[in-house]
Amino acid sequence: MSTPVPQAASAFALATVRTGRSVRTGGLTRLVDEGAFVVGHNLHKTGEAQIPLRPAGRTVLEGLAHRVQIPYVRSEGAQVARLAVELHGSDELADSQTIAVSLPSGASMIDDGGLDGSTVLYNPAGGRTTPRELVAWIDVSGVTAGTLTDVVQLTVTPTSKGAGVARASIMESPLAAFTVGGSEPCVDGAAVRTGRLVVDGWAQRTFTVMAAGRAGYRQHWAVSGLESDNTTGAGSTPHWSREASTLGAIDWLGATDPAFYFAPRALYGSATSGSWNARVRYRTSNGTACEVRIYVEAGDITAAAWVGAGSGIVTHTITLPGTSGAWAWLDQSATIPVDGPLVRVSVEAKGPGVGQLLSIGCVALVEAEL
Amino acid sequence: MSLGERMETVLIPTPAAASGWLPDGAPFDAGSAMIVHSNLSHLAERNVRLVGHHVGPGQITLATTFTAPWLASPFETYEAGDATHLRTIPWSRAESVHFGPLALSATRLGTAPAGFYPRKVRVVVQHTKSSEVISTRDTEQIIIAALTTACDTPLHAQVLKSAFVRADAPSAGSYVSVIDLDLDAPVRPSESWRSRASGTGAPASTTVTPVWVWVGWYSDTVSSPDTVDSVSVYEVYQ
Repeated sequence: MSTPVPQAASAFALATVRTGRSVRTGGLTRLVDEGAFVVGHNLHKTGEAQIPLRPAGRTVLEGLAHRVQIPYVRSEGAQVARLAVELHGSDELADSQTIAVSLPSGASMIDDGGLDGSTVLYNPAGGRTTPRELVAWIDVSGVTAGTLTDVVQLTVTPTSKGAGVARASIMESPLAAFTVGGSEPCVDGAAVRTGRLVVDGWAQRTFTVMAAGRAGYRQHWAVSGLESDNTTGAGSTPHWSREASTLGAIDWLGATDPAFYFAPRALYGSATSGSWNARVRYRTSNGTACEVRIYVEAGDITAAAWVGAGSGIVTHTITLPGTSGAWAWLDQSATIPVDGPLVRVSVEAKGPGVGQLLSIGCVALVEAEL
Repeated sequence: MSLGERMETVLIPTPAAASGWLPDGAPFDAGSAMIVHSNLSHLAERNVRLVGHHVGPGQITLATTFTAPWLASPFETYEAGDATHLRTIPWSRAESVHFGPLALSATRLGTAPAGFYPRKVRVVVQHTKSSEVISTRDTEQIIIAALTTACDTPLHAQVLKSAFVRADAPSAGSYVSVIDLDLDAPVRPSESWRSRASGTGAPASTTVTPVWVWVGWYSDTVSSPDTVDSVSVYEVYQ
């Protein structure tokens, strides 16, 4: 027995449910449909990893073994995720690489699409702007939903001419139907029929689905680049970095003081801040502790300018213990003000000092609604 | 706007289902039914997805957004005077970025034509325009965004919606430009995706409407570059 998942929200009216009147099965059917849409169709998309070519003067991507990290937190309804990877164009001979994918605990490949760590993947020819996606299908049904620290990692091993990964993206695959049972967040639509009683088990299940749509769904914000074992200094590093031991702008390889924008869910109105989890993937060249600050402000964009809301800028200071050359994740809870329809995020860092380097591979915020 | 009616435009907290307030044999009261209806409508509206965020590229000029990309794209055709600006650039990685796929969710009803409309996708670009004037001609900067039905560029894939913003030298300064990609009509599913690893009692694939979001930039500056500092793409519920 399965219950279908609609591809659109339901347009039910509250007037069909009135105190003192019987609960009509038609109204309940729409309620089941809405629950299925929320937890089975409207599944989430992770923040993408975008890896443009390095600017002039920096260590080039060509021939550089690198890794790409994409934080991924499974939604409760998701069974399969689609991973898409694009390679940079190249006109070199033998411009190839292998790509291995490390998955969260409980996940397995249905079809790795050549992302198996051994298939030789050639870079597409330069001058043809048509991109080519390498697509893998991942069974995520065994992944614990809501785990904030899960991540999908690509390990890219190029030849000396391999041009590397340009982009990686994950989208959970919407479901056509739920398998009715305790393991999937659904209500058995077939149980809601004219002449049948609305039983308490059905009602409890409905509230469980509602909770899954609220807390089992995580918005993902991420700026993700690359990480490698390259240890060159500030002038030639291929990574986002900060050298100075004072708080200041990150060297984003070209962009100056970028800020990022998105619409948070704001489920409880503008007065209740959202609970999130901040994640930083980083490396310090020595044992000196460094720091990342994430500034978050609610507001809106008016006449092509950002206008902050009344709550002001919320600063999250994340201390990064020295890792002496090893890449590591650091997680810290964060709150996001929601007294504006949008949120603006910017990031600064404090490095280890002259001659040393804080390298950053990914900065992410993942919703942590309880 | 949510598609379903709500009691309040907030999620109404309820006890956990297993906390004993829905005991065996208890009737399902109309008040609880209304709360569930309202909350699910609210979640259907507010569970918007963040599509992607991109840093840079930083400084852009005629050479980096036009001359070099077109010279390196011999299989594409430049079209001067294209009102949509989709053919102003060849959409190589030097002067564009793309995100996706995003499987669209329909959360709006429309009547002309009638049907379910997907959520609006918003592109926000943080950029600056320089005041460079070349031989009395004001330089210009154009930011273009498009929704396509394939991972191919807007020159080749079906474009569901596109829009652009333009700034010129007399209006030099910093911008946070918003480009809303709001579809004018319902769209039909165009791909079949794997949705279940095994086929035990349920379909193993689903028809979906995936879209890719393309954002490109053009500048005709030479000595005083414009910049593109960040690109943000996300769904909005407004």
